[in-house]
Amino acid sequence: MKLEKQKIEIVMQIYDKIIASLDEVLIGQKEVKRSVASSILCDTNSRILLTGDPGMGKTTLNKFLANNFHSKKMAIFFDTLPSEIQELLKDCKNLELLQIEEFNRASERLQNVFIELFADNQITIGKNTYEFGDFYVVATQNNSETAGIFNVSQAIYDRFDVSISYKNLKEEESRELLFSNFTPSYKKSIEKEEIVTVKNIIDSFNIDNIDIDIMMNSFKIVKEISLNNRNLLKGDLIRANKFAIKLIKLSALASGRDYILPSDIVDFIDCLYMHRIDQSIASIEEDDVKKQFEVAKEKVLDLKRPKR
Amino acid sequence: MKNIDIVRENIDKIQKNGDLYDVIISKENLSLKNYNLIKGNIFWFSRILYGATLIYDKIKSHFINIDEIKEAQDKIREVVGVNIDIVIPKQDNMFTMNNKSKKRKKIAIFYKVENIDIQKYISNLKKIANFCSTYNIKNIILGEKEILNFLCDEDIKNRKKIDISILLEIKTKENHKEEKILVLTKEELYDIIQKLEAVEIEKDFLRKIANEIKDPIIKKVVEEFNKNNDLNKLKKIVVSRLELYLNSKGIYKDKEVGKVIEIVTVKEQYVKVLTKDTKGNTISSFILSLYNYLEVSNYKNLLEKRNKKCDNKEIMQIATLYLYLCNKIKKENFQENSESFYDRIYLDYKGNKQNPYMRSKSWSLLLNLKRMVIMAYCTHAIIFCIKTSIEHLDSTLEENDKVTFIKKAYDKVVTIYQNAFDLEWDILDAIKNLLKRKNWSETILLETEENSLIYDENTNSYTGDKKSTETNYNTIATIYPLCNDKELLPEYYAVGYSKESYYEKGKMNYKITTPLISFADLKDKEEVETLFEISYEISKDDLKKIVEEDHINLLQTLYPIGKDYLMIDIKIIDVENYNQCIYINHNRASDIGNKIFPPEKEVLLQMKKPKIKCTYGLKKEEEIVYEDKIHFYEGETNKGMFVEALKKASPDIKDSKKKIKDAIKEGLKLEKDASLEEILDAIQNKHYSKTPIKDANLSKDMKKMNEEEYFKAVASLDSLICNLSASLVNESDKNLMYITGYKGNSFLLTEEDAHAWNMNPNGTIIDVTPKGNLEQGEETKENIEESIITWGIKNHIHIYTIIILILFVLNKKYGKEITITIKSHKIKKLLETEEIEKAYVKINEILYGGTNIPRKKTVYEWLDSIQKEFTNLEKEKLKELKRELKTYTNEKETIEKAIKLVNEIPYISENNKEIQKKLSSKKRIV
Repeated sequence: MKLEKQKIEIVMQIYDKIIASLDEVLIGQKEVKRSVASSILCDTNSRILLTGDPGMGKTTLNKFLANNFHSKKMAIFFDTLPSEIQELLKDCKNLELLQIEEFNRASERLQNVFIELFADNQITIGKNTYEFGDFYVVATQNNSETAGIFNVSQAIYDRFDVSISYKNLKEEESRELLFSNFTPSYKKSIEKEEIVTVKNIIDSFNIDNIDIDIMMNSFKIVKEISLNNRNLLKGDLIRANKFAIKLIKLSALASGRDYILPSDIVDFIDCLYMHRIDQSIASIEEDDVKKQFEVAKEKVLDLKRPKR
Repeated sequence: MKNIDIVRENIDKIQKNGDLYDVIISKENLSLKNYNLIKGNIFWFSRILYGATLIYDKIKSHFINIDEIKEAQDKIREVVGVNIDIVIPKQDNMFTMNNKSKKRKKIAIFYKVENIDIQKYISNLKKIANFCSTYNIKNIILGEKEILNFLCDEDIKNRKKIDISILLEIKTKENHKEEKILVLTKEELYDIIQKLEAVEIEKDFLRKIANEIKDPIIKKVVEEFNKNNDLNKLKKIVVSRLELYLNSKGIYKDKEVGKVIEIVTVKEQYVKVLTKDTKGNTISSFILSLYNYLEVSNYKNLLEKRNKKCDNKEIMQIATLYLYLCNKIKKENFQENSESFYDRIYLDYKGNKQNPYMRSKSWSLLLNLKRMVIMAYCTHAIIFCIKTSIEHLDSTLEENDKVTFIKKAYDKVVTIYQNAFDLEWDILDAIKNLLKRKNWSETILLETEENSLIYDENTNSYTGDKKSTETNYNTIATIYPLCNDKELLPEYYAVGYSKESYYEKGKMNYKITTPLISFADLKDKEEVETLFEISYEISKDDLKKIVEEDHINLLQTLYPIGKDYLMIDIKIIDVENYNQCIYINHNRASDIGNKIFPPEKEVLLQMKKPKIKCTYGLKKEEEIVYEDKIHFYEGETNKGMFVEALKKASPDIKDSKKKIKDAIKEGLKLEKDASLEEILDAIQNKHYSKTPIKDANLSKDMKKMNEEEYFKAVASLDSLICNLSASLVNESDKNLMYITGYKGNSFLLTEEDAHAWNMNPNGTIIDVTPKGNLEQGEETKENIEESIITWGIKNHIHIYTIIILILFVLNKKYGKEITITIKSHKIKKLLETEEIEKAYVKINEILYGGTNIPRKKTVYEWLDSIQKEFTNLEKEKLKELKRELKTYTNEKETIEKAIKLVNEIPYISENNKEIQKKLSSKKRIV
């Protein structure tokens, strides 16, 4: 058996609980809530990048997460020195969540610190190395800013497991936000034990060959996304795909299934891969890139799953 | 709606209806359909179908919504982001134009723009290339002129160049020289883009600057660029080298602060300068333009300064190169003319201006010819198949209901076909004649004159216009008057008489006897006043028979009746060669009778178009007296060969049964002792109809009647035709023999003139056919047309037609909106039903197996899930799914919901966004 029914129900329950909590924090932004909830549940060491225009709710979400985890927050300025970061973190042994605001203001030197931190869960100050356990990273950045912004290197972006983009609200959502008495609720509702339970269930979820085929075919479609006769994504995307597998498994379990469908993958294509493309192309030809991603998603949805 | 759906939907629309120019031109009716082609079709008997396709085309053109196609094109343009035209190249689509087959018309992207700068042009071409790549469009058409603004002939020499008129079948009315266009594949377009990008950069200028730069990395990368045109790589490396040089003097001493570190970063035309002390404290931070940083006012100034001796000459040189690559140097201000080729035509159309373009004749001709030939063969084939099948059935099967049904169907098809042919020809004829005539009185005069065909003795020829010989029916015979008195010419021409008849299954069958010509009775010309000549065709087989028999045995067909007409002579003549002629007159007949000589046999066998000409007249001495009779002729007993034959036949005639006579009287609503005259009057007082039985709509099928019932039914009909009248007369008095022949008073006897009447052995004509003789054809036609119109009005057909048209228009305009509203409501109701999640899970179980736990969702979440999880299910799979669901006998309610859900899956998949929009528009936050 792939997984006991009871375990699937546990995952569904916990997932729904987190979504319900996020519903009390943000109006609309369904994809953001799904991606954040899934990223938190599938791996306790997730690196999450939140992007969007100012005032979309990134800081609000961060506040909620800060209330639910033992966290450290830092705001990056263009003149922030690596030493400042290191000093802030070196004594945070029980760190569960690192929140970084205005991530794209980090200079190159600062970016190097983050590489070590994200990749190895440690920082090195002089001869001393400070190690940390699993912790989440939730970084935010504004897309529309141009002044004081540095080109964050691809190596850094690649270290983020997901890049979750805030979209403009629909009319009824704006209406609700402006004219109802909605106040975000930051109360603690996420238990670490629940997260660990879900993570363990995901790890024990045995996928079969059909599931593997669907995932491999999807990864192939994503890898072949191209623009101007050039592939947008370089390399084998191993890091991205590894995280993708966890997300996909969670998505299937959260839907009450013990098998994978292409729809489980489609929901996460943007957040898993969009930030891994060459930023120079992405910034110049943003609309064209999005179109290509849409086409890739259509192709993934066209994949068929035979009956087990 | 997703871009991919937008593009697919609008491309489908364009492929189905034609591109923007196609729809404009079809509205403007510029395609060629001329009279000669219609006539050609008539000849092929396919005009019904051809006419139907023409009418359909006209209606379709009328309803084509040009704005819809324009909108479709605009929506695709929004996705692409460039003002392109979606075109259907006519050459590739020659056999799918105007064709509703599933084969999709190939489309191409047409981009033609004036006054555009190279950067914008490259950017637009890239967008087009990506679009074509994404949506698999194989051909891109560009204006040659625009490309030659930036490239030379050499760069495009291997590309396919063509006249726009040939590709799109569109040319100027004034025959201006047509512009050339390039037809490119995707790969060729990428190649052009690369060439344009390379051209954008003046390589000579680059090389010149690079030569002045010392940095070897920059030199190398510029050389590489000149080969590979990789502009991005060049720019990246140049900016990194510039930053390196700018930061090389990063540490310096500040008067106040001491040792400071300066960090410079370059982004586009700006630099950010950050100064920190050794402890890492920020002293200053500012952003300024690169020009300011280098202390120059503009690019021109930079160009001047870089060559001067200074400490930062290398930086100046690299900055010169970098800023050039950033394209901050703009040439003249180009203003792109954003109207595309089809936009201009569309605007002219909207402004009611004359379209300067038209469809080429050859294209329209080709389409029409293709359609005509297909329709011709289809119709021919259909009619041929039906005809042969019926004929085969007729000969092989016994009469039964099915066979009769098929025969009736066949008759109907042929009748409709024939009527359509008649109607069309009449319309054409009427229009033709209308155009020829000046006024109506002249018309009548013209007709009368045309009908007069007078024999001129002096010239031995006929005067008058022989156009009256033209007719729609097969000609039986031609009557040539040889005198000036039209009154002496016959009206009746007998073919044969019947002395035997029998009734069978709703039909009276008469055994017609045609007597042979008695040559012995040919009269001497001197004794007879020559009046007219009857000419009719004889077959070559009959000639062969004459030759074989050595004697001329000819049937007495078309013997004139009504007066004592006497035959004078007979000629067997070859119309194509009047020298080939056998002439038999009184003298010859007296000598040798109807014998034929060997040389004459040769002549007969060589005849190509043989005809018989019989000359008739009346005896000279006797005064010709006749009265204006109503229905029968009295007076002198008729003489002549035919009458002689009748006299001989009469003794063998048996009287008809009393009960039949009584049945006829009953049908005519006469007393049992009614006289023959009363019967004849009653018959004559009825109406005339070519289809009296059909008009009567009898309750019982005639075939099932016995003889008595049959005659009663016929006698009770409101209208009669000549053969039924003659039949009734014959049964009322068997001495009044049933005669078949022709009745006509023009110079041409045609099939239409076929007639039946009665004659007594003395040769008296009894013709009680109800009133309305030769003109009754038209009346009947009018009657039919009238009755159709009356029936239509009686049954409110006109109202129903108007309602249907209104509904059709409403459906076209609002149909989709109404459908979506109704459907959205229905789907929402379904998705809100209790335990819909169980139904959903059931579907998943059947499709995929495995564990499926029901999960509650909102309507929007359901719509989302359905679209994502089931969108790739084909129709067949859905049918199979439904079948499998139906096999589950437990959980009836869940299965029912699941089946309903499966039924809605295709609609939800296609219209997900619209449904969500519709549902959310109703939602209001309280």
